[in-house]
Amino acid sequence: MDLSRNIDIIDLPEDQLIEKLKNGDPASFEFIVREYGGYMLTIAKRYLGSEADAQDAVQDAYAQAFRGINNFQGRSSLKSWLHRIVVNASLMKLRTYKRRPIDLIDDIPSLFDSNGKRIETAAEVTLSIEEVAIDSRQRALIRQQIDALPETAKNLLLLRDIEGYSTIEVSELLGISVSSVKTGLHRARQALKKKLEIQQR
Amino acid sequence: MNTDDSKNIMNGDSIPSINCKSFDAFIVDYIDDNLKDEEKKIFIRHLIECAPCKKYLEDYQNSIALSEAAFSNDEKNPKKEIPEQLVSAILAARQSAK
Repeated sequence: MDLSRNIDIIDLPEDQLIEKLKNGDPASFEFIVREYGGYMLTIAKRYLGSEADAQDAVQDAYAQAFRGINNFQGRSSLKSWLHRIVVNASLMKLRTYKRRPIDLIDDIPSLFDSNGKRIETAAEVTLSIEEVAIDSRQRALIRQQIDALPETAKNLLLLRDIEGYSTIEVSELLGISVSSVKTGLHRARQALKKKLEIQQR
Repeated sequence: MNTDDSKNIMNGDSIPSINCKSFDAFIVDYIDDNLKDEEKKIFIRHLIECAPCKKYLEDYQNSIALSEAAFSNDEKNPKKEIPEQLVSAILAARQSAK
């Protein structure tokens, strides 16, 4: 790789980088692969679990990005544009690999009595956010609990609570209705909350 | 109009009361700040009156914050490298697609 040319690209304002990409400049393409590829792998791995599947998804994502760069309007940053493409590529892979029926969380015991009154429990979430922020083992434990959720529930949590997509965006990405996103998200959060409660006993 | 509604009106109480299960159905929209003013008043009224739901909502929000915290280092960490063989594969695929 010609390093001197890449240093030039690092210094470019994003709109000029995008112009170069639209003009098919090979060095600019290589730059965005190296600059964002690791980040894209991290995102893909959240959804797919395995490194090999994540690499496939990242490769698909870049192929789509190269094909679609001329349609990129610049309404978001290049990074969030690529983020969405790799999320999409990962979700596509999940669909082709697993073909599991839409899984529902059905092991949450009813939270209400027959009058619709909340049933009180002694369980509590006592993990502290400050500790989780500095303790990688606690972070890994929470991530394992999220991974252990049914696939749709896990994806809803990742998309809405971790990656910050809106309900409407998630409904587009998953191809389900807005009300399904909301009810599914609520159940997914309830299920995770319950797992985190059990966790610290 | 059911009896609860008429009781509220007769008491001059303008905010309808709901049960815990109905409250629960509002939680996602409440957190997204998507409730209409009237719905929000109903939600808050229940929140003030019902200690178990108040506790539940606190834990629920805490659990969301914990899941965010569990991923917080992905952004902060030194940038993850992309394997060289993957870079080559991506660039080669682009070459052959042209």
